[in-house]
Amino acid sequence: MEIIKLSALEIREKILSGELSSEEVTTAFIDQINKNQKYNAVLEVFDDAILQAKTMDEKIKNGFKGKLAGVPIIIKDNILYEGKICSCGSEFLKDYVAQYNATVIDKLLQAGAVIIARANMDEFAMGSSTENSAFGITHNPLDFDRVPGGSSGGSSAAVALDMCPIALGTETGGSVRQPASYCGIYGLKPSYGRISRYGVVAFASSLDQVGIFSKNVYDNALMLEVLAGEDKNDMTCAKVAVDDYTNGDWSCKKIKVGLPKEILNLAKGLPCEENLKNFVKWLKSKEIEIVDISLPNIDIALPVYYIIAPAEATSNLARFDGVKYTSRAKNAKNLDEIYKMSRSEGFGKEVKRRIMLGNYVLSSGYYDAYYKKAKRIQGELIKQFNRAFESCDIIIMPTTLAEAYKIGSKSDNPVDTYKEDIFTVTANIVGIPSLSIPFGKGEHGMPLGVQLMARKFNEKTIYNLAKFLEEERGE
Amino acid sequence: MDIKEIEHLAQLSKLEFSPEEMESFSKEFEHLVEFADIVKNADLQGEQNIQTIDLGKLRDDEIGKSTPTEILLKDSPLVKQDCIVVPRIME
Repeated sequence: MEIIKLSALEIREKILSGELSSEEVTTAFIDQINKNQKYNAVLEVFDDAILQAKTMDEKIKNGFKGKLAGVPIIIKDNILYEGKICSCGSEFLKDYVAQYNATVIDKLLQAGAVIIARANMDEFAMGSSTENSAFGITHNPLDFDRVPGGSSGGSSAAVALDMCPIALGTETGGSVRQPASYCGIYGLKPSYGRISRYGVVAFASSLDQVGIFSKNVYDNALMLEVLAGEDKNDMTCAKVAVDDYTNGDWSCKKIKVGLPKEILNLAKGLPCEENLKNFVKWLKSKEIEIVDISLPNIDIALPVYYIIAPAEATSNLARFDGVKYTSRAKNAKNLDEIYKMSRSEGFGKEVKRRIMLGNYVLSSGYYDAYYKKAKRIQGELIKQFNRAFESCDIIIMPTTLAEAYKIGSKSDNPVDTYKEDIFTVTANIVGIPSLSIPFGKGEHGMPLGVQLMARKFNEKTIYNLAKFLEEERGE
Repeated sequence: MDIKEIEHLAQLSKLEFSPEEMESFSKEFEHLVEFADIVKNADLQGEQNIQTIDLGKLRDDEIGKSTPTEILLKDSPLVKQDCIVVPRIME
């Protein structure tokens, strides 16, 4: 039995039965991290990880049976964990020490998880490749020359490299699903408001959610069960009952799957087109009913996203000014210079680009034409999805256009890179849950993913179908 | 987009760029604005006043946990007697 290959569920069971100790398990995963440093998935292994595991072993001896008892977890570098550095992949915050725990960290610890490391990411979660980190590029576990996706590329690569069974990432426009697809694992973006954002460094507050990476469906559902639920510290976190995600009806015979005709048009001629068709064929062979649906304006979700997200990012990133926290420019002589010089030294190129774009769409004379219009179209898209969900339970679409690309291969035109997000941004714009499941291979044998989306707060329906499919594939 | 407009945006953004960076930004911005213009020019009115986030009720006004000043100031770049130091603002 190789410890690092075990699922979270198996780890917990073996620790509770006394077959393994939390210390042994944690040591095995930390060894795996140390052996694979060249991938640069992890920025720091927490020096108290083994101590945490020993403490957990004591607690378990005294009868503790938390849902993640002794399970090692890796978190993205933008989630506050008291006393630990949280740098958001940025030079600007490289020494920033979190002063309190994010709600998700408290929930992990209450469930008995051992938080072992923080993972690399695109700076301030802006990017789709983890090439934009101030701390170096993360490499794809399946092909060293390719990107792992992003922005949560470190968390995704860490799970794919067996450095932990489950990792946390964050999503604003696909930052969990896209790297999950590129690394051949499962990645969930929950409904907006399903998981607290308290203590998660904000990018675009109306779109951000914590997401979950795992190697199987059950572990993903287990983690959502631990993290979901209202939080008095985050008023956008919904007061909606949390389902028993791990205890589903996995027969799935009654689930209707909607195939949006516009998606087939957007995918035309791309590697994801054939893959989606194969997926549909396979679903039909499992007697799952496919219905044709329409999302007439889905193609506009992408530019809508690239207006709303930078606009909110501009406001959120105003707090990084070289005064309260972050590093301060040495030669600044007055307050305005502190702001300008510190920000110019601290932020990387992609972050500056999005701050500029955000200010452009919010600036006087443009606000109505861009931001307000984008918000109105967002409302229209929500309506269109609601209509589509009247005739189906799950909507499917590809996660990415194609397989993971080569490091450094994207053109200098940022819009070309943004266009990669076409299939993922809609779930954030509409606020619905979406799970990327591994399905199919690209031209060079790298994994592809397919998204299963459901009505808001219907993660359980997604897990039901995903679990059924996982079992049908004999995984 | 002309350099003047980029300079104005940089001012709003509290960012500084070298002349070369300005030049490259102004080229990139052509693409970015063209992309954003899809929304501006869309023949789609959209829905007015759609509440995308349900904020629910405000929580009760109760005293909760708070972080002590000395811990909060640990991350500040320059501190003196429990205050963050900045250059003089008044002349």
